[in-house]
Amino acid sequence: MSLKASLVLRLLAAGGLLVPAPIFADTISSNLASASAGVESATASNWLAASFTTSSSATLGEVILSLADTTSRGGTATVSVYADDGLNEPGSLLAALSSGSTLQTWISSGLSLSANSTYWIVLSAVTGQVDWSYASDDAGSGSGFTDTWAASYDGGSSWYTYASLQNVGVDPLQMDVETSTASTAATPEPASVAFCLIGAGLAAMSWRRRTKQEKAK
Amino acid sequence: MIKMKETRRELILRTTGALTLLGLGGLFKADMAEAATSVVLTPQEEEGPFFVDEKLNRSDILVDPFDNSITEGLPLMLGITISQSVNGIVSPLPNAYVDIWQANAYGVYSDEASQNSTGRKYLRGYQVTDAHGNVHFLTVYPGWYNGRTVHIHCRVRLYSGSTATYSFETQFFFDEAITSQVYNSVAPYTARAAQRDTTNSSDSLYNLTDCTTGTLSGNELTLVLNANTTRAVASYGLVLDLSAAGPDGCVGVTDGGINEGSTQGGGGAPPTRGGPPPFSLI
Repeated sequence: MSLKASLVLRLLAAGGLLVPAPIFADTISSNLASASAGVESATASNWLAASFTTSSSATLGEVILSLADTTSRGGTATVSVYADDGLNEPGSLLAALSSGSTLQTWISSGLSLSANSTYWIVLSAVTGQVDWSYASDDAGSGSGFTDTWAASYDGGSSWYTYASLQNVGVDPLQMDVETSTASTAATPEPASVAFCLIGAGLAAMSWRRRTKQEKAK
Repeated sequence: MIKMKETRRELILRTTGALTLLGLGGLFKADMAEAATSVVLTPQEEEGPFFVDEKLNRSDILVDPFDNSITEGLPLMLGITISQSVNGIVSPLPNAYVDIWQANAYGVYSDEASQNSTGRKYLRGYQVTDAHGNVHFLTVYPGWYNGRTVHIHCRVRLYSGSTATYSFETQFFFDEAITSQVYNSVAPYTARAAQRDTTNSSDSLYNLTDCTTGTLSGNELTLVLNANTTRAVASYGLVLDLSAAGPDGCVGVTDGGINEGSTQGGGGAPPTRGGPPPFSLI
């Protein structure tokens, strides 16, 4: 491998472009486009949940929650996926999600979702308090969007659900739910693109300098 | 797929990223609310004869302060959201006093001389809405009594200083199929199920026409409801027009919400949140 090729590959790898990563294939539910109208607060005893539904089987990829800066609120968040218990409330725990690259991003390790089912994303705080934004309207996108949310005041033992037949006035908690498909093809992040461009520039400069040196000889 | 990816990133940049960098407080917009093309205002229903202002500020209305007994019946977790509509814009209504009262599993109201329950205070209470417009109650699935279908009464009041400025009364109704399942499978409802004489289809109040929408008020006032043999979960979102001059959800009469309601109760100042219940009624 030439020096130039080696340099480019090292720069690409440094930029993360060759690292396998999942593709988030489809948006099941999202209301992040709505403005925030306030927050509900989660603690160790006060849990919050937002639901979504599925029309076909899928693999859960990542979930993005509009969470506040937990550091300033002194809270540590825990985010999990629950099945609906048939009463339009969280039932059994299915999986805990892993904290992603940002405070709001939570990653699933391949949780399988059944078709025509209701699931709940449940937030609690291991320590302190974590605030979850609610929308200023009941609008959302994705086939699995619902404007239903729920709160538990006894650490998840019982739930109160907030929904409306008219689909107005509920102002649900804000989240984005994405499916995942296993893939080694990575989608470059903006920072990765910047790394790539820098690397290409450096490679070009190196090639030009070496060309000049060879001509001078 | 690519477009979806772009959309997701756009959302992240527009919302979550902004939240991270700026904090949620910077994104609060009190004036931002829900613009609905056709807002269905909650129909008014009559208060009925059994409202007693017990001034019980509590979420769990199963307990009877009379003897600390727990009301028998299928537990019902009821979440209520109160919103206001101003020129078709819907937003949460905080600091509203929300009373509910209902019959027990045997169809009997507390604190009613006519029902031999004087002094009892089960299945009555109020909560004050938070910034999100929410309150919640732990109650039981109501029993039936002669001439009425299954229902829960609800009253929403607002105060300005010591003056009550708004009162709205309505009733929540229950899906007949679920009621039938509960009454035929859960004690003590089962003992009286066969004698039930009124369902939604034959209830006079359920079948009143909402003069604003022209549809049955009972259909508009039916709870979002699920139940099994151990628990029921229900919710309802009220949308109110607080303007005296403006149209409101109504049943047969124009309901501005002001200077109407119960003649019961005494005078005095309204409570602070979490304090004693309102003393001033309109």
